[in-house]
Amino acid sequence: MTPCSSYCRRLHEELRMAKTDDCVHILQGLLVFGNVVIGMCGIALTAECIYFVSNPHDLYPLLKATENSDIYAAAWIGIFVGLALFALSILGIIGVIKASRTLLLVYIILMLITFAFEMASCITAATHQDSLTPELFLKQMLERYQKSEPANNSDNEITKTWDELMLQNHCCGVLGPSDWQNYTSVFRRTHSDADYPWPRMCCVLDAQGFPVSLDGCKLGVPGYYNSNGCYDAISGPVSTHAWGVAWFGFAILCWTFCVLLGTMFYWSRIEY
Amino acid sequence: MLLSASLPAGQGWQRPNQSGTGSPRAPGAWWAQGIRRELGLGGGSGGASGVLQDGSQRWDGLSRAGQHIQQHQDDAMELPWALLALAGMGAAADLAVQNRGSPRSLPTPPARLPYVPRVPPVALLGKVTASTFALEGPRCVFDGHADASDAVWLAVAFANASAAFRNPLSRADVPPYKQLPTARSYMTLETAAAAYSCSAPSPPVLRVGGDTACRDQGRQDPCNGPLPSPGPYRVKFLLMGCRGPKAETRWSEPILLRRAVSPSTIDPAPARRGSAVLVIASILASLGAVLATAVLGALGAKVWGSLCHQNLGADAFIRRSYRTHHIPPALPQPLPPGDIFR
Repeated sequence: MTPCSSYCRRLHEELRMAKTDDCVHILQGLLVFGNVVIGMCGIALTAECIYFVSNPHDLYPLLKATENSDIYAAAWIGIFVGLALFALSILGIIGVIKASRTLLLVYIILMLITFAFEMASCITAATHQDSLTPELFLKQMLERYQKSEPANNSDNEITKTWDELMLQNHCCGVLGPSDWQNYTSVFRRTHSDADYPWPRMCCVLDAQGFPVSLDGCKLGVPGYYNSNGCYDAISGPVSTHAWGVAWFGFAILCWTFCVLLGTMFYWSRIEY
Repeated sequence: MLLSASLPAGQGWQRPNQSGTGSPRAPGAWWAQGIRRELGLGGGSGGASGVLQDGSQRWDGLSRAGQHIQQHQDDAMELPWALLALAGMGAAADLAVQNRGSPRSLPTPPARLPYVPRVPPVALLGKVTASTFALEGPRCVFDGHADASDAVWLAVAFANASAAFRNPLSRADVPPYKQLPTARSYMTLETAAAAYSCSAPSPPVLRVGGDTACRDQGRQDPCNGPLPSPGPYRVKFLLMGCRGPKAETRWSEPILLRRAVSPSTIDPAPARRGSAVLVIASILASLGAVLATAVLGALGAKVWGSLCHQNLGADAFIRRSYRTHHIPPALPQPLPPGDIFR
């Protein structure tokens, strides 16, 4: 082989490598970008789930009592998944730049486990957000609000939460004050219907905490009692958070799916 | 003929004496004369209106009340009461006849006003509850019939017992709240008639059943206790004067109170699963399945390839980090002249 032909062959190979190197560059660039996005989304997911778990609207006792507090479990999972996504994205960036098969294999496997956890969290959050119907809270309120001999501390918590809720949001009952008239309740057992058609918290209170007009409140004169139901005040924040956990997690997972496919293709093409 | 007369108490008795100068007779003579006169008159009540010449409307009212009472003779008073009434009437009429020369006066039945009590039509959420209900106050209804000293009572009765209700003859006979289970009716909410006059500022709303102390303390006097059952009630207003009822309204429509159901009938399950849950679950499940198969497929291919000792690096184009593509390929160095001829 002449020096010229060997030179030409090597040049040809280098040119071919340059073209494929461009493809490699693009793929690497995309994977790095994908991992950066995953890392940032992981941090955002952690922050959102921490906010949700920190109980900003003091609604946790109500949800805990429904035995449907899996939304909180989903949020806890979301916190750890977010941190894991951030760490794994850094690992992925290093593995892609160094083109290391081992690192990328570890990255792929750990990412799959995180994917599975986040999938569970999303589906749980979506399912249990769906189950927070007005009837659920209505039944809980009628059976436990102002229970005279509270079986455990959660009944006291429920009473306190409802009182705070009705005071802060100027609302009464779940669908309205007629909840107390349409159904019997433990409240009705200790408070007679003539004196308390609905709890005192449903009345418009003055600065000292006394009803502005007790007779007006008992008769239901507009302006002296709260006629709205509290369901919007309960379901609003909880729905927002639950949808945040569910849909944001879903978006992250779709993105992660694409990045993982790209990484697996990249890994299969790395030579030993 | 039996008459269930409303006994004019107190003042009515004094009137003939005030104006009369007749000397009191023996009671027995009055008794006999009264009975004879009553039987002779045949129970007519029209003669009462002409007894007094002062043109008092109350005597007219009493005559109308008497006609009204005659219509309810099926539940009439006992004979001794009737005879006492007749004796009283006879005595009064006798004196009046002595004084004025006109026929005797009968207690007139209360005026029957066309007003029908009703639950206020305005939107009040608590106007009917499980043990109370609200009523519109009878504004301007009793004007013209009421004096300053009269009182308006509310008679409440079970709807099937309203026909059997008899107006009490005096304040002492008013059935109290405690008698509701046995007598199936009671009277409450005694208010001065001036509160319902036309000059009152606004039509008041009355709340029947608002006094729980009435029930809890078991009070014997007329008070406004909560209603024990939802069973339909009918009410009417009764204007009571010193001599007894002077005017009454009609019975209201039956008022049915609210009945509460148990919360165990509430079904907390959602009506149907939201579509969002299905979307999330199905898409995520499919993505996860694709990833899992891709990983397993890739790993399986590698393992199978290594088992079959194939050249795996043949189509690899990604090189390790020692790629030198930034360094231009070294051109073959010119050999030293001595090597060519070795």
